[in-house]
Amino acid sequence: MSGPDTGLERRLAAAATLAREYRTIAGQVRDRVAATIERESEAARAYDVVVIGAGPLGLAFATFVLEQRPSTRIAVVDRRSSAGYKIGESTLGSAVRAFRSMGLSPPLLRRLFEGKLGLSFWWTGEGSSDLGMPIDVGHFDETYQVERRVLETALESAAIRKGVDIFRDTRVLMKQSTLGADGNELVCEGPGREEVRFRARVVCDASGPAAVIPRALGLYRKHIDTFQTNAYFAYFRKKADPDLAHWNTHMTKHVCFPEGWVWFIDLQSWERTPDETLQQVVDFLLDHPEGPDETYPTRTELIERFGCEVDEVTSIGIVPRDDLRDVKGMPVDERFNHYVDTYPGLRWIMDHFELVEGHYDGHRSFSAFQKMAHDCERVSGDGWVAVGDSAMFVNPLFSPGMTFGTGTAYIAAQDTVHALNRGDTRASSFARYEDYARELFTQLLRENDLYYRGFAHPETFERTWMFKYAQATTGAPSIHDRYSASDPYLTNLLEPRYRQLVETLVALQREQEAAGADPTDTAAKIRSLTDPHIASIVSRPDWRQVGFDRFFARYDTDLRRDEDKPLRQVLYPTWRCPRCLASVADEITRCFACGEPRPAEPVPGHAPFPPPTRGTADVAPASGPVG
Amino acid sequence: MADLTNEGFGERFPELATALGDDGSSELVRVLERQEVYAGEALIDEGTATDALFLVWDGELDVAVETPDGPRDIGQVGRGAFLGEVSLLDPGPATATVTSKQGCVALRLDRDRFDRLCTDRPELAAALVDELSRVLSARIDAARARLGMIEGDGTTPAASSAGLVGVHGALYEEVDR
Repeated sequence: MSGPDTGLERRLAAAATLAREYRTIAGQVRDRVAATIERESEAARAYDVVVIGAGPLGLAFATFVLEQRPSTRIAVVDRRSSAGYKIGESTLGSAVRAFRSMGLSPPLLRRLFEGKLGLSFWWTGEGSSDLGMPIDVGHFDETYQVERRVLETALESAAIRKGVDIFRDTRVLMKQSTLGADGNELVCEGPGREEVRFRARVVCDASGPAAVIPRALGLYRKHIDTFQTNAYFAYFRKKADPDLAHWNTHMTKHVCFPEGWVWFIDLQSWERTPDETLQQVVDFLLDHPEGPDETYPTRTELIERFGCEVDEVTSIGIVPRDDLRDVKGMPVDERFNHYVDTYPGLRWIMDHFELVEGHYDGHRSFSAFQKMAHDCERVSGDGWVAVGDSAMFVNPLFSPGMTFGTGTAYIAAQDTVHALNRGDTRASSFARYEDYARELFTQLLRENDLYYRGFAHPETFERTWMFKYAQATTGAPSIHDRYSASDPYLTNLLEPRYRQLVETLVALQREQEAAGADPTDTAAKIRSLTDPHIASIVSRPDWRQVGFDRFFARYDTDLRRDEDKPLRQVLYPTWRCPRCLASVADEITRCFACGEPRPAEPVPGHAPFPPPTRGTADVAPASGPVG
Repeated sequence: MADLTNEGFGERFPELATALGDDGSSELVRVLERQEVYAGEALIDEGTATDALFLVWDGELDVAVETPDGPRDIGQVGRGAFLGEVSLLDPGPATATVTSKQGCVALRLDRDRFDRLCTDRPELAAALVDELSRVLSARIDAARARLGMIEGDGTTPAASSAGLVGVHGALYEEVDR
């Protein structure tokens, strides 16, 4: 440059140096930011699927997805630091098939839990202490009555072995989380109260009653078009055996009364066994090589070997309608006793039990659930599904929580696998699950209506049950080990013709109830609808071939009541252990509980069922829709 | 659209107006090109080779930088601010993207016009360079200070990327007059 020296060249040179210095520091900051972001994105754990809740259904969902799509990266988060007490203690075949699919072997199940061979029902009314009109259905499979802490410890340990990552003490903060078809980010509070983030293409909400996602999105609904029901329950020890035929059996016992029903669930309680010890027993059983039951140590041997304490305790719960009697002003124990004192039959049976105070650590002696039924406006959205109690709940009768809950987990898992494979996790990808959930809730609600209104009178009680059971036999899946596509449709409950009949029956009962009609008149009207349906079922060729009447203690081959029906050839024969009275499957030669060998002579009062002469054929495959 | 008057210039860029004087200010205004930025338009794109200085006459601009997570806002500048002084003094890629949400007016001085100013009116060029150097210096110091605070003595937890926005922003802040 020409012109007088104004120091411009010096200044330009100095300024250029400054500019370069600026670029350097800008570069340093940029690199620092990039490194920090990279560190942060590593800290956000990336998965294909994250499940909220390490309960049975969350773990079932995870396992079902993993089975169908082994490359899937799955994490399960749970806010509790370890499995603990929960209600929901009885299982049917579907849930047990799910547990077996998840890796729990029959020998493991027998040792950890109380065996269950079916359901027993009695009816009792005001003014008489009789427990009458008994109905038994069972001896076609072996299921279990479970302490949830034990079940969930076993299921979680099995899931870890299958490659599911479990994060306990990790609570989802829904307000800070984002859901969407482009991916989800769950912000959680971790074990040290630090922030932990998860990214997932699909989130499954299996958080149970907490219903984390439905509540956050305003989709949770309590309004139903019929009565709500409540549950009041506590834990008892049996003082003496009630003098009642078929009470001392391994069946879940139900006493029905005009306002509701009572459950009696016997349990093997491991409450006094510490977590670490329980974990050792679970690990031992999970890692034990598969083989006949006799190759496993007995329950007694395990208790001694690992230093466990196991007691027998009975869960008893009263589940009345919410609309017939107002007990809300009373403390929970008084509500329970109020119903017991109103019905002499309940009083009589309860006199054989004594309360165990505070059996479960941190829980009061009596618990209450009010107005239990709920559903959601929708159970899926862009990038998410909700299963189990998060999606819906009706009533504990017939254990639908775990039984049909596994159905929701299974179908949601199928849709999830397809969505991941197609790379499309929009709400439309879960349409099939959405439809199933909607139909399932509607039907469970209707059926509950049907049962409860039937409790008004022993005849309607009896006809309603037999109508339900007859239909159930048409949807009984093969008694095999693993969960199958027909399990979500167990008992063929979604068959259109049957559903139509249920609607008609419920409408009839509501009319009759509102009109204050004579219960025997109602029973006759109901009979005119149920009996033709039952007749059409029992006249099917497979009915006699399979021998479905073998499910029932007091019903003949046409499902007509026969109080004097002799002991039948059951589908799943068992023998009674002379030492500990456990019911042991026929092919097992020594008691899984105490090791006593099978006796040559049966235990007095526990005659075995006649040996099967019609062969041990599986029941016919489900005739309902196959998923 | 405001007229580019001396008064307006003095009001918006007081330090520079003082250093240049009235006559120098008018001369600079004459040399500067008026550039209108439409709503949503980028005035400067990060990484693009640029060699122009911008003086913000009116409106507001958002400054953003690219990160592995996508573009990140690090600050805002308004009337009276300088942009691109680095590129004028040391031509190269722009260090940030500057966008106007609602539109703005800027005065542009590219390298060619600056070189002509250096030849024709070196004393004005010198005053301009002094002012730009002052601003640059202040920003460098501010960024270093904040980065130093974050690096710290190793006992404080590592800064999050959100926390580093402050450091980044310091590189584009309007410095105290």
